[in-house]
Amino acid sequence: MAERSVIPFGPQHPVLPEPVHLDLVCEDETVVEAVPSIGFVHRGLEKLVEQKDFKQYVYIAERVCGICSFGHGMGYCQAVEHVMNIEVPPRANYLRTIWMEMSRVHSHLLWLGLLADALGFESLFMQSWRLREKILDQFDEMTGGRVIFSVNCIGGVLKDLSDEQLKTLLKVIDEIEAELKPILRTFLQDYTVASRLRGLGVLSPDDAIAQGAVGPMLRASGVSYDARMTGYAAYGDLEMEPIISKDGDSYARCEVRLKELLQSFDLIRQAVAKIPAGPIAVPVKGNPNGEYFNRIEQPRGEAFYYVKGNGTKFLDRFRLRTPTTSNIPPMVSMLKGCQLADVPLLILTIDPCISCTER
Amino acid sequence: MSKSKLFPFMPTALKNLFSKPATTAYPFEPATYPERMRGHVEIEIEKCISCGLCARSCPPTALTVDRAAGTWTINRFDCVQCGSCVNVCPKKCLHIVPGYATPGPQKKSETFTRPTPPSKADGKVGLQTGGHPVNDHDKCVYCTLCARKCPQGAITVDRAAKTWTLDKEACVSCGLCASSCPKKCLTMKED
Amino acid sequence: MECKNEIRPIDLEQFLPEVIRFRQSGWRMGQICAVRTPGGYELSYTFVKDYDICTLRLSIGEETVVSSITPIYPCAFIQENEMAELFGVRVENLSHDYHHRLYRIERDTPFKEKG
Repeated sequence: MAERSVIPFGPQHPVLPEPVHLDLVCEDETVVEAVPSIGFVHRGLEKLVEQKDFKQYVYIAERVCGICSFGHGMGYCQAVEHVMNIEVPPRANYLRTIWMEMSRVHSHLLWLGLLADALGFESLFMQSWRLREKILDQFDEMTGGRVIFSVNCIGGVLKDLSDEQLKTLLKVIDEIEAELKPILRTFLQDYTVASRLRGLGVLSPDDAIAQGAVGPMLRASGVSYDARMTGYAAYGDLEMEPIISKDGDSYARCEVRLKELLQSFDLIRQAVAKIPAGPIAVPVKGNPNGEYFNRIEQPRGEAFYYVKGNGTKFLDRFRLRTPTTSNIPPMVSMLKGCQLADVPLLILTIDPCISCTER
Repeated sequence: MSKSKLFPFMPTALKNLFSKPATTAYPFEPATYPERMRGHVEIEIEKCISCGLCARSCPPTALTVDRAAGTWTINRFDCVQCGSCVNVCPKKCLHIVPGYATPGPQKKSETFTRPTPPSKADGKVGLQTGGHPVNDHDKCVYCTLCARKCPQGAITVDRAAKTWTLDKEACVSCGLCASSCPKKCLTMKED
Repeated sequence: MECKNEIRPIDLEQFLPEVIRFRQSGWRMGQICAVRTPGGYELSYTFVKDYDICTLRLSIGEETVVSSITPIYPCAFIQENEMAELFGVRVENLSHDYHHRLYRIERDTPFKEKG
C-alpha cells in the first residue's frame, strides 16, 4: 500500500506566472488529488465600483490583469454602452477589434514562452518573448503603453490611428509571421516537446462541457464555441471560424493556440483593410440605469461582464467572470493520476491568469 | 499528427549565437520612447484655473488642487499614468509626455504654484481669478445646457419659470458653462 | 448572429428542478453572481448553450439558505464559495466547502455593506 504525502505547490514557483497554491496529495510520484487554493492577489476591485465614477472605473477595470487588460476595458465599456443604449461609431469598433486581436497575439506568444519554460526549453522561451517585444513596441507607439493601454472609454476609444501607423502595423505583423515559422515548427514537430505534451491531460468533449471549460481548452476537445462568432465589435464584418482540434490533450491545446495566432494575423489584416473613416467616440450623457450581461472572447476563453446601474454615477455591481475561474475545475480533474513532474505543464495548459480570477 | 523531428530549433539557435543581442544596453545607451508613450504628467501652470476637475477624475487620487493657495500637487508614485486628467482639463494645460518618473527611496509629491495670486474679496477666501459666470437674461433661452455641464451642479435653471441662479460657493470657475452655452449669453466675470 | 440573452426570475422551490432541466438539455455553466439589495440578495446563475445565454434570477432574503448546485454542476464550487465568502450568502451542500477561507481576507463578508 503506497503511502500518501501532501506536497504544497506554489504560490511561489519558478514556472508559475501568477501565484496559485495547490495541495497535491501524492502516492509516490503520482498525484492522486489536488486541492486548489487562491486568494494571494485579491484586491477587491469589484467593490471599488461603488466608489468610483463609472467613467473613471474603465481605468480600474483594465488594471485587473496585465495580459487581458484591453479585453477587460472593452468588455466593461461595451456592457455600460449597452445599458445606456449608446451606439459606438464603426471606426471605434474596428479599432477595438484590431487592438483586441493584437492583445490575443501578445497573450498567445507570452503563453508559448511560458510553456517552453515549463518544459525546460529556455531558448524557445526567449525566442517567443523576443517576438512578443515587437507587438509590445507597436502597442507603445499606438496607444502609449506597453501593457496597459488606457485607450478605451465609454462611447468609443480615445486615440486614433493614422494610415501610416496602420501600414507600419501590417509590416510588423508580416515580420512576426515570418519569424514565427521556426518557432511553430519547433512546438509542433520537435520530438522532445511532443513527447511531453502528447497524451497529457486528455479532456473528452463531454467532460469539457460538464466541467465548464472555456476557450482553447474547450475548442481543443472538439467543441466548436468561440464568443467572437456572436459578432460584437467589428467581428460581425470579419470572416472567421472557430479553430478546433479533436484530440483534447495538451498538444492539441498548444496547436489550437498556435493556429489562433495565425488566425489573429489574418483578422488584423482584414480589419485594417476594411476600417472605415469617421469619429472615434460619441459623447456620453446621463447615468446608467439597468443591467446587462456582456460576453467577449478573451485570449483565455470567454469572459462575462455583468453591469448593474441604478441611475447614479456609481454602478451598483460589476461582476467579471474570467475564463480562468471556469478553467480551474477541469485543471483539478486533469491533475488526478498525473506524474508530479507534469504538474507545472498541466497548470500552464489552461493558461492561468490568477490576477483575473481573484480581482 | 505531424512527423517528429529531432533538432528543428538548431538553425535558430545557431543564428542567435552569432548575431548581436536584441536588447538595448541601457543605461549606457539612451532609451528611446515613442511619441505617444505615457510616461509622466506635466502641467503648464500659467494656464491652470484651479477648477479641480483633474483631481476629481483621477482614479488613484494622486492629484490635489488647492483653490485658495493656487497650487497643483501630484504624487508621482501614486500616479498610474492613465491620462484621465489630461482628457478632462478644460484649459488643456495638462500633458502626458514620454519618460518615466525617476525612482526613489521614498514616495514624493511635486507642487506647482500659479504665478497669478488668488484674489480675495469681501474677506471670502477661495475666490479665484476666473471669476463667476454672469448671465445675460435677454439672450438666455433657458435650455439648461449650462446646468448640465457644470461639474459642481452650481447652476440651477428652471425652464418653465425662466429663472437662472448660480450657487457662487459651489462654482469653481472652470468656465465649462460659458463655453457650452449655445447662445453665448454667459460671460466669466471677476467679482 | 442573433443569440438569446434572457434573464428569467425564478422561485426558490423551482430553482433546483430548473437547473436539472438545464443540465439534461446540455447547457453548460456560465457564471454565478450575487448583488446586494436592501434586505437581501439577488443571485444570478447564467447558463450557456451554443451561443445563447439564459440567466436564472433568484431574489432571496439575508437569512435564506440556498442549496448549492454542485451536485448537478460540480464546477460551480469556486463561484459559490466566492459568493458565500464575500457576500455572506448562505449556501448548503457545497461539494468543496472552503468555509470562508477561499480568499485570505481579514474582514468577513466585505461586500455585504455598501461603500
